[in-house]
Amino acid sequence: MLTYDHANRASQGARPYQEDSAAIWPSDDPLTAKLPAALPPDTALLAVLADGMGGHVGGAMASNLVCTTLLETFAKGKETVSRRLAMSLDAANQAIRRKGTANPQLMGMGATAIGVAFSPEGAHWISVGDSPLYLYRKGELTRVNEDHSLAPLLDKLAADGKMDPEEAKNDHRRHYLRSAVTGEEIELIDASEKPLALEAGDIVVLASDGILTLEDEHIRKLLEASAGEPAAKIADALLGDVEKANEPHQDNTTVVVVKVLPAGLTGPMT
Amino acid sequence: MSNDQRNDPAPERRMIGSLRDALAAAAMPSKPPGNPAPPPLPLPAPAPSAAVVATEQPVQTAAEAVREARGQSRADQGHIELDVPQSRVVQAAAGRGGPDDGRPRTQLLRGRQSIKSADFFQDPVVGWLVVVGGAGLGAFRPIFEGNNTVGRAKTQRIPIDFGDETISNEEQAYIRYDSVDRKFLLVPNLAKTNIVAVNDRKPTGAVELGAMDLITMGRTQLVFVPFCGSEFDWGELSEGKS
Repeated sequence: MLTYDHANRASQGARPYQEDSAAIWPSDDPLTAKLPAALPPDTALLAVLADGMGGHVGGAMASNLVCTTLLETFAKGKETVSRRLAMSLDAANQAIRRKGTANPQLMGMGATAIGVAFSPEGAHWISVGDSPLYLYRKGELTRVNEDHSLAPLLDKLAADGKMDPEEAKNDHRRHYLRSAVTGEEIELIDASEKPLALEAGDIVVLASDGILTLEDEHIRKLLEASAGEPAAKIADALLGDVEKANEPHQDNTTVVVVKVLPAGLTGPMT
Repeated sequence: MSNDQRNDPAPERRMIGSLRDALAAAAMPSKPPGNPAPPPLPLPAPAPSAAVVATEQPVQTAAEAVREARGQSRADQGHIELDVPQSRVVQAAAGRGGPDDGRPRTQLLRGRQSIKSADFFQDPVVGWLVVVGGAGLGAFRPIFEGNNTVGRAKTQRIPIDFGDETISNEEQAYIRYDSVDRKFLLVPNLAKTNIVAVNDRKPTGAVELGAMDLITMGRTQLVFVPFCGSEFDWGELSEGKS
């Protein structure tokens, strides 16, 4: 049985408002206040993150609603872990629709969503939008979930020689979302087919796209250098480097860091 | 380290072990007596033997673990550079396996394209309301992408905060601009006591706004001036470049 060390940190960047939400259950996070203290036996940890959009009020409300609905629906369900994740996403989408219908000024609000359930078999995930989910293992960083922004399509155009690579890199449409939780039918959903088998020493990072201020290689090096540190230190270091980059329009950045610890009395990893 | 794998072999390893035994047995000139005849085996082709070697490595790399969780076998990965450590490449090429894979998936762009404000200095303006009568004469207020609340309070997305107390504090009306159909709508909030007029009508539902339409709220008269529309939308900016 693996044990975990986790942390959840947010930075507002250069924005006047915070539209990200994230939470880990179990923890003392206010978003998990209504949840039962005891986890279902098939889950050791549930991490959720959402990046809201839809204006100052709507964006923050949407990401908060998505996170709380994911947590509460998952906690109540009796189905398999993957099924519960899918049901939670559906419930979150319906919650956004109800909110928008009841308050016309909130119409058009929405959010990205990542839910990761850590079970004895590994990590199950569900993801909509462009918030990255990373796995770091032994010096290697891999993005786990699909990117539902236009960026992969622009990169593909560049790779196929149909677009200048420099232009593709700077195209402002990179940030457009092809899929999000908006209350309408979700166009693209990415989910694990099988649980992602984890090992002691692995670091799983959920983030909002503000983290993309850092190149993947930057994140990889940071995780390599701080892999021995507690999750809270790693999360602080990630946000610290985003802030150091000092982008004039730096977006909100939120990171959830989950470190897989060696089980009980097992010796240190080599 | 994978002590558990060594002490307590996983089912795959057992299966591989028995496959190897079977292969070895098949290669032997004579079978040991009492052993059940091994099932007929195909000749070990390069691919399966590579798979055996690969699975013998005790630890999966991050990319391998993710591929497995995504339900992609190595055989599916032929065209992808396995050594690229960042999965941006892996991930872009390994879309959710529709029949359209490999083609530019333009049909995915049909849906709502939500503009994220990352590239803009501020929320991009799509039009303006200009005060042509009443308090605030000569002033203007920008209209933004999406839904705009119109009211007297400063917290409104379009605050008409020039001192006309006959305008509802919050949400007397909404002005919406949709970059997909590039149209402006005025939606009166029927829950409010104060009435909104567009030109000489007092709509009870959404009405499309046209250039120079006159909106009356309380004792204030506003003229609508569009910036985005059929001629221009912010989404076009880079389309011209490529």
